[in-house]
Amino acid sequence: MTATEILYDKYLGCILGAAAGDALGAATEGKSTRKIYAAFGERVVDFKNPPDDCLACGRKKGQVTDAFSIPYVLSQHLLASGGHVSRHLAQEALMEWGKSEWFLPFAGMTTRKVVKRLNQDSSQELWSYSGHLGNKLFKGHYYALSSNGAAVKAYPAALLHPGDPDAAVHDTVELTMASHDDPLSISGAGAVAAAVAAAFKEEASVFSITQAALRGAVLSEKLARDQEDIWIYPGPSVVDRLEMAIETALNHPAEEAMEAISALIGNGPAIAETVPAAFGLLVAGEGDALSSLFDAVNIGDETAAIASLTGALVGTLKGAGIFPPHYLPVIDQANGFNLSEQAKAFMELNK
Amino acid sequence: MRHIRKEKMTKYSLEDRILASLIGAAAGDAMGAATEARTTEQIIACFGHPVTDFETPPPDTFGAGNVPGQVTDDFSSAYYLADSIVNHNGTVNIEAVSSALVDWSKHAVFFDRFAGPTTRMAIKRCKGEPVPPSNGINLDSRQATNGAAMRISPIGLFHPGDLKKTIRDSITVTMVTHDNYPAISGACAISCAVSRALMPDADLYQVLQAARFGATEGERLGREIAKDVPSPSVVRRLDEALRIAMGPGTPEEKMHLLGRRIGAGLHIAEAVPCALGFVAANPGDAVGAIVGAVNVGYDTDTIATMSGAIAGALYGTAAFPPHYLPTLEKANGLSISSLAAKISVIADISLKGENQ
Repeated sequence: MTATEILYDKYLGCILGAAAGDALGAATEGKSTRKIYAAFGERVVDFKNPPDDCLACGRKKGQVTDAFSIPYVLSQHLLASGGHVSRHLAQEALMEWGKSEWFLPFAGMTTRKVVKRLNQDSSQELWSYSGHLGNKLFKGHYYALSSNGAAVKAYPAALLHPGDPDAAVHDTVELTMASHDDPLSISGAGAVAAAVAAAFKEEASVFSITQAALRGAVLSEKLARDQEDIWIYPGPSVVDRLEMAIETALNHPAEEAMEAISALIGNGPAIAETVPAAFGLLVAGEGDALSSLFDAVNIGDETAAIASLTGALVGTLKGAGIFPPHYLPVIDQANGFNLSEQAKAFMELNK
Repeated sequence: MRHIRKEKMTKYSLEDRILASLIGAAAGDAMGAATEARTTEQIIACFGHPVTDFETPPPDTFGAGNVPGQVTDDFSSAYYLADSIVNHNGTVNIEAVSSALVDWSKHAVFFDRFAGPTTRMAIKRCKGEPVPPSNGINLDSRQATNGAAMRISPIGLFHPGDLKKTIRDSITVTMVTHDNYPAISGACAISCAVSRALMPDADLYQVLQAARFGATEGERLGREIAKDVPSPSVVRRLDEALRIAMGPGTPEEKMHLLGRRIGAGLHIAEAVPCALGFVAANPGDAVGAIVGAVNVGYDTDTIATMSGAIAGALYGTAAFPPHYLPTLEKANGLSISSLAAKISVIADISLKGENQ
């Protein structure tokens, strides 16, 4: 492959990995690993029709959920603006997404409330936004419970700054403030953006992008705390949990790491579970991209988000060629996307 | 500065240990009511110092309107549960648990502002009222919360040293409100720690071992009878919390680490390991175990209730400043000492039965 072809393969790998991870995880979402194996009779390693007892029920195999559709719409807005990053642009993108087919079935607790507030939905009075006591305490709980929405839409900023993690982190902070205006959510988003940006470097490895994630988490948390309108609430640290996830992955044989990460780090919707779990699985796979991706699909609970993050990371690191050849046509066809075109557009923009 | 009382050479008294467990739980709840939902930094900014005694809850907390020493849902639901079990002569069954919860829910001062969503739904079921569907979304995995563990400590008080019966009755109590294995694992960890702490020969190490045994057994039995939900493991997080607590550093440094690494939120796999972490990080210091939990931030009242129940049972009433009990009894209109006397009659029979 020429240098240009390798670069294009990384752009497409990031976008396709995020989309495919989401679509793979849509079928396993909300269940424990034991229940996933019981429902499908085996470890899930390809697109499946979501069963009737999950959030994505009624949708068909290959269709994405909120995890990929939000960053997909955000990417379209970033490309249309010529790569001009602003909080306003991210809000516009979120409002457009709020009118899409994905909003009603999938919008998480935090994003649902932000979209309704942005659209000035008359049924969304102040009390239901910030809790029935009218205090901000509930907002903290909502954020803590559903903040991984910040992380799944972090990779587009990295596509604007391939190879430059710090620049990707700065833009991610601005874009994330549109919906998740707190240091913990932003810290998780910063980790993902920095890692994806670092994965574009020629010498990139699992080690180098994990280091970039730790640095990105620290830097973005600091930048977030320096914002004037930041909302601070208590919660475990994304940075500490990232360290724990990496340590856990290193201390277990590959076949035991998924369970160990699930048990200690957790794989729920909290930002300090979803993001560290994805990086733990990346390390546990020891560079075997599909092994990491399938671990994310089978770890249980927030599998769509965790697999979407893992897919974007391994896709950027290894290129789209790492995925089975049917992924791209299945995803494009099931969702009416043209992911190659979006990948090319990002590449053109950065020329 | 906090005053740490010197250990007195007092004769072992089961009733004293039971009373101390109730005082510790109530004191933790009341102190935590003032700090709940804040970060450690926000707590210090709000009060000008770490909270080490009863304070008036600020206006933006659930506890707003409470006076210093007033408890929330955590201790009050434990109190009603213990009282109901006393009235059932120590028998723990679904009827005793349901009637305690329904009775408790009639007290607006404890229930209306404080009760969590999982417990509210369970009480509706107990009353035979319809439970509204949740837009078709299965919420099972979001019910692995700390609501059952926060009121479980009295189960350990009724069965000093008998972990088997403690686990059996803890499962009965937990299943009424929290039908999932992580909630059972967390509840059994707390009640087993309390049960072991009541014994004359108890030391901190044995109490932590009992907690780990309870968590492990609760997880195993819970997987057989309760819903299988995706969740981090209470056992695994407990190991990590104890590693932090028994590692290097001051109790304050360990408090920060427990908050950052284990988490101090509503999830059962955060709250229970964190509470036991504070007991382990403050050996010989019951007030220290409570103060750590009160200042870690987030769900401080629930975590401090659990830390206080265990540390009180282990160290006895001499470990607490003398104003705790009268302040708590007056602020809440509850007779904590007479409940302790009633529990100890039943616990004493259980203890003597074991020795035969």
